[in-house]
Amino acid sequence: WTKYGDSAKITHNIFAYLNRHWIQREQDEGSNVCDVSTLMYQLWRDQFFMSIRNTLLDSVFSLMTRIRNGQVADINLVKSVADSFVSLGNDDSGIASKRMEVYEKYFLEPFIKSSVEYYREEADRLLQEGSIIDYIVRVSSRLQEEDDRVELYLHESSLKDFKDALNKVLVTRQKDKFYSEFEPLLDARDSLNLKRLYSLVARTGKGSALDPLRDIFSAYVKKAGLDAIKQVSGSEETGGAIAKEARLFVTAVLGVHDLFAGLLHDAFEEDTGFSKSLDNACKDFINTNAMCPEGEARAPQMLAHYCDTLLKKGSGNVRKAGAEGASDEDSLEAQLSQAVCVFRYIKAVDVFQKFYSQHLSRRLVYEQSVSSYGEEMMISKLKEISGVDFTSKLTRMFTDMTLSKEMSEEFKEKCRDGDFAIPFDFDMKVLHTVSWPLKAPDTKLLLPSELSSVCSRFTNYYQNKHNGRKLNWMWQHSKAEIKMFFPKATGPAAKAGYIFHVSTFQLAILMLFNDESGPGTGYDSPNGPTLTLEQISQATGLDNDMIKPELEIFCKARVLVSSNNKISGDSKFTLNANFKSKHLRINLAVSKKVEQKREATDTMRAVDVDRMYAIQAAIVRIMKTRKQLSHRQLVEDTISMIKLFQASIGDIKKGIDTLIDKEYLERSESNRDVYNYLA
Amino acid sequence: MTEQLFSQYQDFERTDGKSLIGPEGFERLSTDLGYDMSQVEPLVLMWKLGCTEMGTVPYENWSQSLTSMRVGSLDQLRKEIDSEIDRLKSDKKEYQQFYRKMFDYLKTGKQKVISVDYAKDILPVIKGADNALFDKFVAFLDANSERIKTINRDQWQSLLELSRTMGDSLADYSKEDAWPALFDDFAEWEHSQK
Repeated sequence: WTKYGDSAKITHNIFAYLNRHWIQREQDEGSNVCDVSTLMYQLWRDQFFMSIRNTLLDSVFSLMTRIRNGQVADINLVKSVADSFVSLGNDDSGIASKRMEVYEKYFLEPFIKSSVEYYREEADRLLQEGSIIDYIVRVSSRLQEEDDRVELYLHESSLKDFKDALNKVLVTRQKDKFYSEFEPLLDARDSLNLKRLYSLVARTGKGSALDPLRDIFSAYVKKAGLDAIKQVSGSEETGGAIAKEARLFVTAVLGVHDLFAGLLHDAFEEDTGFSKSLDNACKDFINTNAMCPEGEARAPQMLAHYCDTLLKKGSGNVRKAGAEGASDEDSLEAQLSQAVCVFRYIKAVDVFQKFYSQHLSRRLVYEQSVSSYGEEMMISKLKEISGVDFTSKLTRMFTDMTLSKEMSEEFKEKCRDGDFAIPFDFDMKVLHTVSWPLKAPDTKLLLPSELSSVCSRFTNYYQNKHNGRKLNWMWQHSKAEIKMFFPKATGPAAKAGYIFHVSTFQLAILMLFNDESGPGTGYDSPNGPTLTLEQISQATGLDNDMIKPELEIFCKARVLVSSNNKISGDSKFTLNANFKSKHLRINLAVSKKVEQKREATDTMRAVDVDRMYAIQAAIVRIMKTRKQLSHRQLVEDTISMIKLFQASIGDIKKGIDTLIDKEYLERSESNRDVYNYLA
Repeated sequence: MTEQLFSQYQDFERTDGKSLIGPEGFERLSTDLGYDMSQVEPLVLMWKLGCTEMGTVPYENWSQSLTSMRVGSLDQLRKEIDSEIDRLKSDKKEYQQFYRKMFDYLKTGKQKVISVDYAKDILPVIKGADNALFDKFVAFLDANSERIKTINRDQWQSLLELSRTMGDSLADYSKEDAWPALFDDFAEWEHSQK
């Protein structure tokens, strides 16, 4: 053949003159004459080739079989045979599409057929002899071999057909076995074989062939997540403390997520379909599980609480230093990133926002932030996902803090200039009502005189500075430190006194015991004045309900003594002259568990109210644009417009009812399924 | 003639100078026509006379209505009302207008809603042949008297639609349809009654 080809070329050149002129002319005139070389090939084909064709093919096939069986053979021979087939296709008319005809019909088809036969036999044999895993391993390597080899001898146009045929016989036929082997592999976390399985199935097309696997994956992740959370939910260690619960929850979630994200990376090549399956499964198991009943939005609450423990001082959060001794800030960032990762899957985003801003406000007001860098980092991460609406309020809170510091300095300076001595260490924070989730106080308080002069002075200062603004003093969030000297104290306490950390209400009550000219009786007693509940209430302006719990705290801490050992209308309270404590600093301002629970329910109620308004606003916006809409369409559009939470059909209906009542909408007379917008 | 009739029932004790028939006069009129105040006839009468409130007809409305009904005497009025009641049994559009007007009569003052008690009283009285659901609705309101105190116009009007579409049972009711939220509760209650 090679020799023939060469001589054909030479002959062609010899007759070049003839080719150029006469044949050209003939071709232009449309007759079937072709040039010499083409003629020569035709001769070869018709005279010689057709007859030996089959023998030629057989020998090619046995050559292939030898190669596949691992024996040594010359693959180039196959290549030249293939090429010759291609060349023989040069038809009289030289049409390109017909050129491959010879090749395809006489070579490629039989070739593919024989290859398929070979592999079918092998596949069947493998399946009989070994497990699916073995099959997968062997077939993977076989296919790899063929991939590498085929480019050496097959014409490039046939690569796809060949590969498709092989895929069909080796993979598609075994599809169901693969699908059933998938889950056991997941159980074993066998990422190597999962990768092989994935690659095999992917060869037959990344779309629909992999979908059954994706579904199995999704269901598997979801189950793993639900199980993991169920396990920790029964754990004894929390004792109902929400902080511990939150940590267990988030840790469990992250454990599951990271495990399968790892598999996604190692075995599934970050396939987008699998990635989506993972996300959907996470969304499902994170929001409704053993620790989070349906519809109660506990997951965002716990996540917010978890973030609080990360960012708050003294929350007992032990931060693991990185393996290479990464800095505290780095490990904090890593933990915050993880928290944000969970945040992406939360459905009731508005609940998270409300609780997060509450925790943040508490951290800021009580100066409990562990790191301002950490706080800012968290906010920027949240901004990336949630956008600016939510985070703008948080940022404003920070700004208020900075402004307050400046104002504090300025105020103190003014006092110095005005020769007004502030009799104690005074610090205040001015907060912008709209941005902070704190309510105006509902209890009035009569301040001790030492404080009231300073506070009114500050109020004046502020109102001069910002004309028209109103200041509300929030006593329920204010704290104080009071140093008390007890008559019978000994040791260092006698000189330095005890320092008590108290709330402002507690301060008001305690200072009454200081006041010899106050309402108490018996000031000549060495313990200071004696006061009844009634007297305390009158002097401070507080209700008995507010005072009683504080008195309980005082008595329990043995700061005060009650004459009849209980808190009642006829009890008389005095300072405990014999007060002793190991610590010089004592915190009496503890927030009660009952309060915490009540706060949580209040917050959820606020969330419900906000949602109601959000739904109504969305409905109005939609109807304003569309003017007229069917009920179903309106419900659909409202659900998709609201991104922060999943609006329920019932709530949307209530919103529609309210808006009909307020005459923003009406039902259409002609079709009661349709609403009209009323301008 | 119209004027004469009017003055027989007119409320002369008014101090604001408006000439109208008040509830007391209206009751006398109904009795004279042979109607029982607890039945539907007086309501239809109110509607046809153009009452602005329950039992109150200003002179203009009175004279206009009587003229358009071509009525000059009590007998003729009675005949007209009786035939109207017949018409209401079959003419759906007519009945709808009548039904809707009832809401206005049940309203007191500037309120936009009616009290559930009034609704419960009037629904059995004005119930027609295709309003089998009214009775169930009244029972539902009874069962939930703690929670549900008022009915608004949308709910009132939709009730008629509901009873016409659903027949006598809410078996085919779907929460996904465009009914007021109150009816979701009604359906739930009704299903639990089986």
